[in-house]
Amino acid sequence: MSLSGRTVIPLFFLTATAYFLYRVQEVLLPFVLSAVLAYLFNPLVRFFEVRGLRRRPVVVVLYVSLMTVITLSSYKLAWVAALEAEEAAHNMPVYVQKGGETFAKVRASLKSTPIHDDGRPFQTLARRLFANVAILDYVADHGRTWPQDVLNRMPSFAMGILPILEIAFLVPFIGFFLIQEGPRLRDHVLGWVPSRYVEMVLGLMVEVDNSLGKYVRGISLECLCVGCIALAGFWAIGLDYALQIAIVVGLANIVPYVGPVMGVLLGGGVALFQWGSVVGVLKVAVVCASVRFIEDWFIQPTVMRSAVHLHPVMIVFALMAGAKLFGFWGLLFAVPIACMVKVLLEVLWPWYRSQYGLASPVPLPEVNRIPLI
Amino acid sequence: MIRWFKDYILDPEFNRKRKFLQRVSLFQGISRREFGHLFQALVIRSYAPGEILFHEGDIGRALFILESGRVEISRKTADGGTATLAVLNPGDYFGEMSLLDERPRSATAAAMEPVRVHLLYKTELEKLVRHVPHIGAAIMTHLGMLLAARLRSMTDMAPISIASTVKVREVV
Repeated sequence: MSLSGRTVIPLFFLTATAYFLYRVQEVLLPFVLSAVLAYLFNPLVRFFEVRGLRRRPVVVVLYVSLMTVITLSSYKLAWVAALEAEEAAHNMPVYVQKGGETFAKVRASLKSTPIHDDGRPFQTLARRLFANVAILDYVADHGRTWPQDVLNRMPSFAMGILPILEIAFLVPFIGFFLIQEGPRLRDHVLGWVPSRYVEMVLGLMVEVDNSLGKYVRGISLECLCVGCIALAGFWAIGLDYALQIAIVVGLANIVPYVGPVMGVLLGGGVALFQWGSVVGVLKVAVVCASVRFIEDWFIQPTVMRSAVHLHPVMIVFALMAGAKLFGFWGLLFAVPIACMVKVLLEVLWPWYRSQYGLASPVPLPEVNRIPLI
Repeated sequence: MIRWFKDYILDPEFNRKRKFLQRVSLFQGISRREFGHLFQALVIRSYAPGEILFHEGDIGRALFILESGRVEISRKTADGGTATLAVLNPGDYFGEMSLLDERPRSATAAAMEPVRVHLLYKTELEKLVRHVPHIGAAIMTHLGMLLAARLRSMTDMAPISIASTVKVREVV
């Protein structure tokens, strides 16, 4: 198979585009998030569009309504957050004292017990670990100053919010144009494609669009459900800051398996300070395990029913590869990119096999058996 | 005021497309209210005169509905020449065989003048079948009837040769 100009030129443009996107990866985030917003909005816009309404006024009305709702709820949320912060500042010394006392108790009991094998392997291992590495001393020393450190760093945290605000303004702006253009954007791109590749490119666009759309809408709904269930669970056990922790659990659930783990870490920490006992941490762990169970057995099969199926091993590999290559953002976008790669292979491989005669089509078995009647 | 509001809200392109697609025999049986779902599945593409829509032997997965212009369908002959099979006019559709079996195209389609087509991709048809079954069933039924009619016309033209082909295959 020789490389002709017709193959080399598109390959050159594809490589150049990929390299360009790699170089400007820092500015891609608002565009990616805008595309996510467009995917979330599209079914709603489509509902009106199939009834003969123009796309632009529909998008404007929906946008204005949504922005009003977001502004009002942000205002309300900021008000609640301010109250919670005030309460947290008031409770902090009590929490630190309670947590410190619990910690000191655990440390004293572990240190006073002689290390010998009493037939309980986990307890023996824990004692050996803590006795040798002196982790407890380290945590005890830093634990007292940690809340103060966090408070001291607040100004730099606030500065860190600025890029988020920038994205918060850019994403709706870019998203508006993406939603408004909608199918016209697809027709426009297709107009640029050489006629011979129109069907292949159309196939890729349709499949990737379907796959990404289903993933984005599915994962958003899944995060919302997981957040709500976690909130109900935390409220049921009476955990402080249940709303904030549930929001973090819901958001962290974008990365598979991370949501409930974050719930155990954050909720467990708060439970330790709130109740001063390990039982509270266990309650949180049970809630998070239940959330994970409900997610696996009820939410995912319903919400992600028609999305691209990836094997759990592939998901873990994609997550690790994404984190290794692009850090946090790689972790976040690993699964949708893996879905896209799978879809690309599913479309391109049969096309390649047929195009270069690697596969002979299999006729239907009954063609030769049943006569033409 | 109401008229201005109506003009601003309602899509004039919607009615134009609906009037055109209602004339296409493939979409007989689809009600006026359902055409909106069909538009979502179609992609529009224009071709310049002389441009090839697809080549004989290309793998195809889309059906073409001709909105404007004329398209020549041709096939290579045994002596290396080209034979014109048909010239298609607005309202005609072609490429339905590859839409069903994803096999290589049996002929070449070339634009004879500026051409505008609607493409229905296989996956979009499958989506219609799943989500708006009435439209999907209407299209599939029409395609089935078309293929059956073609087979019947072939058997009417050469009943013995086809019947004997089946017999010979059974024996082999």
